[in-house]
Amino acid sequence: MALTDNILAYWNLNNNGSGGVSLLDSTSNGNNLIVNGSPDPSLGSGIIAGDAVGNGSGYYRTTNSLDFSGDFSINYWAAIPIGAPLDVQQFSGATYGGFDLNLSFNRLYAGIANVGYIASYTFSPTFDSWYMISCTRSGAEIKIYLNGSEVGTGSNSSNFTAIFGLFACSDGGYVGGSSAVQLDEIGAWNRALTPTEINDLYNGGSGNTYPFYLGLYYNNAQNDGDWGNLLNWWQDPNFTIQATSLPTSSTPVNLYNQVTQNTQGSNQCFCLRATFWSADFAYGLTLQSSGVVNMQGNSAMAGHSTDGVSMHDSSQLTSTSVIDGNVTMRDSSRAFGYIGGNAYVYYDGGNAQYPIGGTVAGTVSYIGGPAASPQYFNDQVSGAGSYGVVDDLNNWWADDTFTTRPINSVGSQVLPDPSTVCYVYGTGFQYASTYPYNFSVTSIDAYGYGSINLASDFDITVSEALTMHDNTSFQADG
Amino acid sequence: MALYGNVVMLDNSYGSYLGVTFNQNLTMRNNSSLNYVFVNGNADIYDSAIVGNSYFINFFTPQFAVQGTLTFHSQSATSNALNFFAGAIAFNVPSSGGSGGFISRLLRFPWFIKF
Repeated sequence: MALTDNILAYWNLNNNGSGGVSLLDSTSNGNNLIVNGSPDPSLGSGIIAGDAVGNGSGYYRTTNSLDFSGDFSINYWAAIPIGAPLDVQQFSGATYGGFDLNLSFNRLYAGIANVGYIASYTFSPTFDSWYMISCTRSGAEIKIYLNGSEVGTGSNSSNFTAIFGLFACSDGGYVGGSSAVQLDEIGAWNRALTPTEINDLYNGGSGNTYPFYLGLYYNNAQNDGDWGNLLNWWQDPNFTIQATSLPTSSTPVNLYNQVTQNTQGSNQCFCLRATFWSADFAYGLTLQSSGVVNMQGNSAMAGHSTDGVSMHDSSQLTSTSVIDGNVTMRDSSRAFGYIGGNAYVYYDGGNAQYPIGGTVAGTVSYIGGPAASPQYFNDQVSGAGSYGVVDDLNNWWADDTFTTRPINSVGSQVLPDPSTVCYVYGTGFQYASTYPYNFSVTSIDAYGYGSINLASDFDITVSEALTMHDNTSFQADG
Repeated sequence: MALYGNVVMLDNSYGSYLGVTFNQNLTMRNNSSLNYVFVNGNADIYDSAIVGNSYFINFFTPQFAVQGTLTFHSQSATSNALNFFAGAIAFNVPSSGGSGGFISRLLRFPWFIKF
């Protein structure tokens, strides 16, 4: 996933061409900023090509509400001047109970206006020094980061969609106040950025700006497949700015065409990490990467990787490939080579390779396959699990001989899911191992004096019907 | 607790003092019995099935409640409920045959019925 995915707005706060601060949203979403108060924040030098210097009077707010109803992320750079007031407002929802993210003189915190902190990290920032502030929410989990490192967590799943103020605090339906702080490179997303992405934004302290070019881009412009030919490397994904040096072990690389040789490095290709965009990496080459290699599109790896590989789309590890680390396979990716670590294969709608080819030194885990159907519950036969426990795998069988397990299409036994037709024998459903528990299946047919315990924290969902036969009964003891 | 989906009760199956909600439709046949249940959909009672089959008496809580239509399809399908609620009641019973138990019991407590 690219940093541009699910981005809501990005304000680089650079020079607007007239010596002031640009309020334009760098994305195509049109979430430009509006000035309130006077005088405006002025133009500073910033972490990247200009920033907004607050003066305690003027402030900005967003044109539109930002969708923070679910997962979201905020990232910006801030520098607090000497003598700044204690409460230095930076990024705040303009409603009562709005969300705010601030670096103050003694802490970094994500909180709810007039309510309290959600996540907080106590420290004393150096005045007039730049810090990168990040906050993500995934589900209800909120994380705050300082300079790319996670420093605090909290929990909140409220809908924080709102107009937001910059340099300002929420004040009951509008933004108000103003902070004498410097802000730069502010982005908002309606998804949770990953730690790797936040680290990319930090970029070793240099920052990164929309559209987030990072590292070097290879397109084989010279048609020689040579990693060691500088003319094959560029500073941008549009291949318009020529690279000035070959990648090193600290450079992320993006490969957009085949690599067949490295005339400058004895076929040892050093990088921090690599992303293949429908690019091939030939046999005989070694990708000396200290980070995970990401394969997209129809990329093919025939060489050697010193780290793990994350495979997507229809990417492939050929029979000659050697991967020292773990391999994660998504979509329709295929593996036929040697994997020194473990392999994790996601079902992904049935497109997964099962079983995977080649050799895996570690373990192979097939993840996410649907449950086998039908499945038969019986807790009263040899080999059965705990009495009446619906989510005990040992109580589920492939048929009414109750001797074989219901193995799914990727070789795993998993509990019934909404695609499963169920038959219930024995004492029936009495308990779950954890509560609340929702048992969701296609249908249930109960037989043989078994019962279905309709406990208060145990829900049953059937898309077709629950049918009670043969003196079976409902109970309700919860 | 809620049971989301249709429920079919056959062959002497039963449930008493449940106090639960069946989120969709209920079908009862062949001597099945059920008490203290709330049905969000419709309920169809066949054969000699019995609803509200208990001596539990609480005039403030229906022994059997149906949001939609409660339909008796047989002379011998019975409601023993001392009070119950139904969005509507229908009798889809063949004209031949003797008097069924359900009619007399329903008539004993008609004032709880919402037609």
